[in-house]
Amino acid sequence: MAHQSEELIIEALDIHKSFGALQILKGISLQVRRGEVVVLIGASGSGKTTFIRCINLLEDIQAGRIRVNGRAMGYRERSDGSLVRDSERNIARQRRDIGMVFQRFNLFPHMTALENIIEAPIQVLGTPRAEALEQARGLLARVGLADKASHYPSMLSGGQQQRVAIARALAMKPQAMLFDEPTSALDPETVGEVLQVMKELAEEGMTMVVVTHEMGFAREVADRVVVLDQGELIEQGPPEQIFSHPSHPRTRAFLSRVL
Amino acid sequence: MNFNWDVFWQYLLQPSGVYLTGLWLTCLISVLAMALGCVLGLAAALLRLSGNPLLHLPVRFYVWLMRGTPLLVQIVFLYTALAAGGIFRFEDIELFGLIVPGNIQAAIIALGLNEGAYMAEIIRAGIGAVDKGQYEAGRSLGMGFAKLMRRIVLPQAFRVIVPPLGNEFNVMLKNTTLVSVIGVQELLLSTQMITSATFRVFELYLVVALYFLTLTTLWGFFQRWLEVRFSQSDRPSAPPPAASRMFGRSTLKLLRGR
Amino acid sequence: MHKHRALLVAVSLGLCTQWAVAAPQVPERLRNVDKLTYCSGMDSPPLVSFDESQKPRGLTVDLGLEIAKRLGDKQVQWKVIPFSGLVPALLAQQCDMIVDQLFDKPERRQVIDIVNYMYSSQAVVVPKGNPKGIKTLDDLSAHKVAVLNGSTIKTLLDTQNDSLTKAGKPPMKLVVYNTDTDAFQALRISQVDAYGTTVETAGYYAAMAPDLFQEGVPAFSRILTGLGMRKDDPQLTAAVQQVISDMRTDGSYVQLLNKWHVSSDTLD
Repeated sequence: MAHQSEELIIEALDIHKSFGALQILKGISLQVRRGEVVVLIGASGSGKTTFIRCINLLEDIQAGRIRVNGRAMGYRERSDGSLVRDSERNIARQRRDIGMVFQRFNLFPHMTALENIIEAPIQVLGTPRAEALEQARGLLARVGLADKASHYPSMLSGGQQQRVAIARALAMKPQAMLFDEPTSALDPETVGEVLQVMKELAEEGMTMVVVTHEMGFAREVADRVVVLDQGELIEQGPPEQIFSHPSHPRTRAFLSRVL
Repeated sequence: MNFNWDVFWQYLLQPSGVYLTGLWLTCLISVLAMALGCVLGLAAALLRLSGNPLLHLPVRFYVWLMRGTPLLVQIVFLYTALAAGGIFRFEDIELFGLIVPGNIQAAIIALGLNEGAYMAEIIRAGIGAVDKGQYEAGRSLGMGFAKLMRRIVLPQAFRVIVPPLGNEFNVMLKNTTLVSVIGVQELLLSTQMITSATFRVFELYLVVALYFLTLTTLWGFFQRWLEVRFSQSDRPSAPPPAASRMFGRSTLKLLRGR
Repeated sequence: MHKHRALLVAVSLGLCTQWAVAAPQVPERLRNVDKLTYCSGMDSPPLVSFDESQKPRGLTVDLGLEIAKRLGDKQVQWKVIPFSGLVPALLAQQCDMIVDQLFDKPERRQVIDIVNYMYSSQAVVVPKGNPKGIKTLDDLSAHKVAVLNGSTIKTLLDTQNDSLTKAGKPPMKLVVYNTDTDAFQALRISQVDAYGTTVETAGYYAAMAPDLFQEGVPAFSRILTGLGMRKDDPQLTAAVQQVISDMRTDGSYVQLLNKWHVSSDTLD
């Protein structure tokens, strides 16, 4: 949406993933440039959630390469070409560059909103507490929840919790943000407030990969829409192209069902 | 009914030196054994999470062994049988200027080892009760395993662990009577010694029962306070009464018939 | 003429002897009962203990069986109860008689009746070679001594502790066990320095393993030993008393004590 550079933040090459005998991802490749907003759409079972979780190693892959910010993410290659998972320490370090927002928020219930946000900067980055607190208050204000700093997640609505979750991910100053169906678990009234925050984030130049069913958001905010079907990337392009003139028959079938 | 009220009130309200020593030993052994049990249980629960069989198989063996044999047998085995077999003997040791007899050491270790196995299962269940999404959130923020457990998972697990932990301490207080068989003069053996001299079995066993009832009831108050304190982030609804949290569905899953 | 008189005297004497021996009156409440119940700790060889096949054996066991026989060929049922629980069990009517090495002490006489059958004494057993040099009760100062809960020697050693403390010496540490076997076990595996028990039991264990144990403090505190009955059961007490007199008269008492090698404990 904002000014894009040529710099590749996320590079996924020929990703294969199976759960046991069931193959979920059958060779997906995706490149995301700095400042780009990529929206993944597709039917359930198409593998879009699995794919996004592979990017930050919440799922492991059987074949393919992932590079984040120019560095190979999470795997080392053995002499026979097979992949062996990198040490958890290294993976943890690389995950700092990618923030993730989950469908079910996953806020820490035993901490207030403010404490949720300062937790990772203090514990992982070693940020001094005062600095982390100041930054956290700024982030809460940015997502419109400055007055909820000392509230526990159980006292917040779904939309409010998700906004705190976004602020929590932003506190780590990531290079890119992944969104896994961020509004699917929300009441319709609160969906809007979360999408608004995401739109503002995009306008500020954040690199985003979003899995969603909110086609309105895709049309308005996405720089590129990527269509997945049965573990394959069948089509991608600017939103006007995908929504108005889809070329792949399965894209057309899917869109006719959801639009 | 043959009941001597004078004897009863005398022993209830004016406990002798021997009796007070027994009371003190009962409490001390309970607390130390419980602490040992919690440490062992936590270590066992965490090792159990490992995928490495070298780490989780010994833990499963320990839990199986401790839960599969009677506590009385374990106590006698540790103190008497091992010494009789020439394998290991508990000697009196000096600690901070006090002499700690071998049988008290054995009592604390046997009770602690046994408790550790039960705590391991309780803590494991507590950790399992924490939503998997918490792990994903922590990991995606770049947290390593240790930080994740310490800051995110264990604090949440603790809320689930506190009610059964409280019940375990209640059981521990009563299990200390078993160490009378290796000559530790806790409350029961002290009572038996007085009974043998006075023959007033009814009155004295009633007194010792009341003493235990007092101990366990006092502990019950403290347990309730702990449960309330650890559910603070559950507001705005008031926390359910301690009884329903003690006997609620999830807690019942963690309790065994004891 | 004197032949008839001699015969008459002989017959009368014979009849008198029969009466003297046939005296015990079976108590009313036991006349129609075919068994007697005895409480015992079964914990004091060679007087009462279990043999390898878990059958009761010992001097007091034999005595109990003989009493049952002379009270009308009654069967005997044994109830094994830890020593300190024997008097309460008798008082609770869980048995007819305590058949064990029960010392005759005033505190016990206050609650039950006792019919004596021998003397006993106390002793202290130590490991072979007497490493801690225990020869008198005073030598027990600052050592660990195992004793049976409820035993007389425990009371005696408690008193000894009082006098040790008064004399400024450190008291001994008494480790109390609920069975005599456990107390002996503690000595066997060196968890205590000495083991206080009766001289009969001490002799038994020393004879059993002479290369492991020896007597430390020799026999002291000679005391009468008996069987216990409830105070409200005087007929049984009288009957048992009579049986024992009879046995002393007809020589079976001395035979019994000889059999178990405790002739020195004969009643006067």
